[in-house]
Amino acid sequence: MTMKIDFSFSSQYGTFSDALHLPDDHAFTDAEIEAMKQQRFDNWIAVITAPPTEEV
Amino acid sequence: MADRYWILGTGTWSSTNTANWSATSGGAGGASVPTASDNVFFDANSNVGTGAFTVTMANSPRVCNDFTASGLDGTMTLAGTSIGLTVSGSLTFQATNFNRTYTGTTTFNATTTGKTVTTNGVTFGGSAVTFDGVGGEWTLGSALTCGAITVTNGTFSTSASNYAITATLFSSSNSNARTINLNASTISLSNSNFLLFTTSTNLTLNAGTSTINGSNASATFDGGGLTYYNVAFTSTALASPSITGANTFNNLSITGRTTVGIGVLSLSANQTINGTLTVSAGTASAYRMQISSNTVGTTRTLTCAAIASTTDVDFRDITIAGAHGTLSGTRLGDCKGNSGITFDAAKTVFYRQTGSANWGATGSGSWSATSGGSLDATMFPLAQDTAVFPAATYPASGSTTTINASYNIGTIDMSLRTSNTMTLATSSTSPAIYGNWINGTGLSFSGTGAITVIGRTTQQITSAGRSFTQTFSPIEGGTTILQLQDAFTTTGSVGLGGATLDLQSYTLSTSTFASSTSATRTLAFGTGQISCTGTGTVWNTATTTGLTTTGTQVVNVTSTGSTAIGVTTGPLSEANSISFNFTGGTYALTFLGSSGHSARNVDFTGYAGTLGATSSVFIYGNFKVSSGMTLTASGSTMTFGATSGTQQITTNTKTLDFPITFNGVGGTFQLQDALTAGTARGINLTNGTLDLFGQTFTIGGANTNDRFTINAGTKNITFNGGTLVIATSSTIAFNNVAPTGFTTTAGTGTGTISMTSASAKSFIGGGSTFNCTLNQGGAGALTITGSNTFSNITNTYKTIGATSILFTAATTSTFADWNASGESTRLLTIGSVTAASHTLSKASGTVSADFLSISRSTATGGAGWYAGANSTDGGNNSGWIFTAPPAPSGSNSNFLMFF
Repeated sequence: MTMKIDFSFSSQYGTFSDALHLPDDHAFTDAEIEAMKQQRFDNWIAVITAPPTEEV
Repeated sequence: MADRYWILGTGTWSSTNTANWSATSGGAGGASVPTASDNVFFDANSNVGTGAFTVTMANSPRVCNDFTASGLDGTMTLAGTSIGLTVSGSLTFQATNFNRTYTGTTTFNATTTGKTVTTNGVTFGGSAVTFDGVGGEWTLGSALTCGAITVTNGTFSTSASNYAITATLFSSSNSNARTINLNASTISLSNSNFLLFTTSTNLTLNAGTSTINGSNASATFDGGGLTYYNVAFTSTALASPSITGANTFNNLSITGRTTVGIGVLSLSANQTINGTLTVSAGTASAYRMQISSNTVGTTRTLTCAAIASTTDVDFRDITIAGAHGTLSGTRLGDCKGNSGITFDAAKTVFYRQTGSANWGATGSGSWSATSGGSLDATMFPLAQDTAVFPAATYPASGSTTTINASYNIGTIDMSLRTSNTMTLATSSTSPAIYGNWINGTGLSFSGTGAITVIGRTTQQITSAGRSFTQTFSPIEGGTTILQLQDAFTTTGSVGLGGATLDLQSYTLSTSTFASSTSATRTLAFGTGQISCTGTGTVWNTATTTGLTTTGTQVVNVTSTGSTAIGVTTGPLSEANSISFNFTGGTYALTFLGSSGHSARNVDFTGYAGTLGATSSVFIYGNFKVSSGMTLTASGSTMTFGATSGTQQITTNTKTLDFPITFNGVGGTFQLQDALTAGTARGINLTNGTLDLFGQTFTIGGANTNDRFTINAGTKNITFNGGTLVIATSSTIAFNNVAPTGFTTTAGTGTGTISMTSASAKSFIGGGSTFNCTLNQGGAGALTITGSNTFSNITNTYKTIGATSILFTAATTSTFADWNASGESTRLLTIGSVTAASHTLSKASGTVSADFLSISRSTATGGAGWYAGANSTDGGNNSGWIFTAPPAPSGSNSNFLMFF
């Protein structure tokens, strides 16, 4: 079974809302979970601020 | 009717050359050029000796009655570039010694029966052959090979000898009376649109026991609802064949694929098969066919007397009916909407390739019945199945699995792929998903093909923080509900068709989003938002029919670049309207550029580009202009139409250079800073409350269109210390057209309506109560019409020059206070518009004015009306006291008491 941890970050680009789906018996520490959340958000920022790919 | 014989070998068959025509075989030249009633002959005497020769047709299409090439003893070539031949009789080509190279259309236009077309194995190549003669009848005298064959009028028969036709396409789509007799011929057609009988009105098709074969991979059979005998799609690489029209067949056959992939036969109508429906199996389970309705959710019925053994076929929106009964087969995929078909039970299969490989593969395939088990060719995942990628080995970490065809896929479970990474590639294929999609954190994606989400049930997508590259479009199927399980990001696009996209309060990031269809559909935001990261038209809901939005309805346009962006909202209702935030960039923006389009909150904070001219549009929420952006002037009206709550308008010193209307019953439109309307832009208050909120709302300049109009409705101006500056020089500068339902509220502080034009202007009060100060703020005379009530009246122009306040005769203007005065040498004129008196009323207290020039004015109500010692009496006044008011008696007493 998995557990779901919802989280959100606010940014100038709008609110980023996401969830972590982890096994019920996961061994992640709170800090590691927070790091995963931050990583998700950082990845999102990277995607939405990347220069658009020109149509070919 | 005459006979014309070709002579002298090579020559030109033109409209003028007579040298090569003779009235007799081998006779003298100089006979007239053949007409449509003349028979032409090419024979042993047409050449010089037995030499080869070329007859080149020129000018407009050459004409003749019968065309006969027979007895040739040297090779004749009938040539001509883009020149056709029109034959009014019969045609006979010689089987040998005859070449046809002309490239125009050969038209048979006889209007009588009994004509034959005998090509004797001579091909027309890719050139078209047309039969077009009312009352004409043509029968093949041999097999016919040509480009497009068209029957426009008359009767065309392949003959009782059942001659074959080999052509690119066979067309007869019109309403002329015409008959086509196919006998037992075989018709082989190669184009994609190989049979075009779309309009079959007045077409009698006698299919006989013929066979029509379409060999193109995307062969389209536009049958026109007629009865055919055997029809076959013969390509072994069928991709997207289709059948239109409700046709009847004896046998209908679909050839199996010999190349890996899936072909989709699209049906736009029901079909009846009185013989056997055969859908042949492909080489292996990954070589599939799909039979589908052309419209998702609209069933097509195949009424079949018999169905051959069916293997590796997917069905969508198909009903099997007829004497055959329920269709059972092997590895039949259920793409929903079917009946009369027994599908394989849903199963779970496991990817078994160890390295980079394809989803669909020949031989033993790529799948196993158990995790890590043996490859099993029968385990190809069907639309009702679950495809699982094991945690490791299958494939090895770092491998790529390519969905190499537009397969119908059930659930993809890749959740176990975490530390063992893998890439799921789609290249340009467009698979359809009928179940859930679950990523592991080790997933990567490549490919730009569009993934269709079409399960007609609740489908969940778990991204696990992984960004897709694919477009997800369309999400459709009517009852399909695609639910995000976490944030979803794709560098592709998202398209919503007839389905529900439920963000489940998560963030959906996409290059572009489109949902412009009339299908019933829902976009459920919850508290989630959509971020559009691309350029071009990043949002398109131009057609909003059937679209419901729920939740917070927020879209962020995140570009920080300069490439133009378009946001097409469509005419969404207030309830369905969507908020748009433009968070950065210097791009040119097309937004609210079409009439009727709408948005909820609009926030340009961070945006520094130019917003193109807006059309007649609606804002149902806040409107916030950024300080760095440029607004384009427009003559079309922006209507603030919210019917509840307080909507804020922030302009950051930018002029809103377009007409503005406030029209939302129950809504409040509140200024957050000074609002300046452009010149020549009218402002209308129709419904709702305009809350100046302590700010200054400046309307126009010298243009007479810059008026402030109060229309029929329930409306209010709340001042809260704000000022409505009307700079218009117009007889309707402030025009309370419909005072019924109009109220004003002072709120906090003292509100003002200031009429500042240097030219004459009018305040049409409509007899309403104005809980504010009315100020004469310009040189132009201010005319006040109606028996209105004001909190106060002032004149701020007095420090500059003299001016006037004129009242309409026979009206009573009531004031709680009067502070309108002139100054020395700049008297303020108080008078009537016409030569009759007006009345000014104040209930109590003292009016203490000065430097007034008063005429035709009756001051009353109970207050003491002191015009001041420096005012002048212009006559016809009543109630005015032309002195300064007496000093308050209480002040001396207090002074004495102090001592």
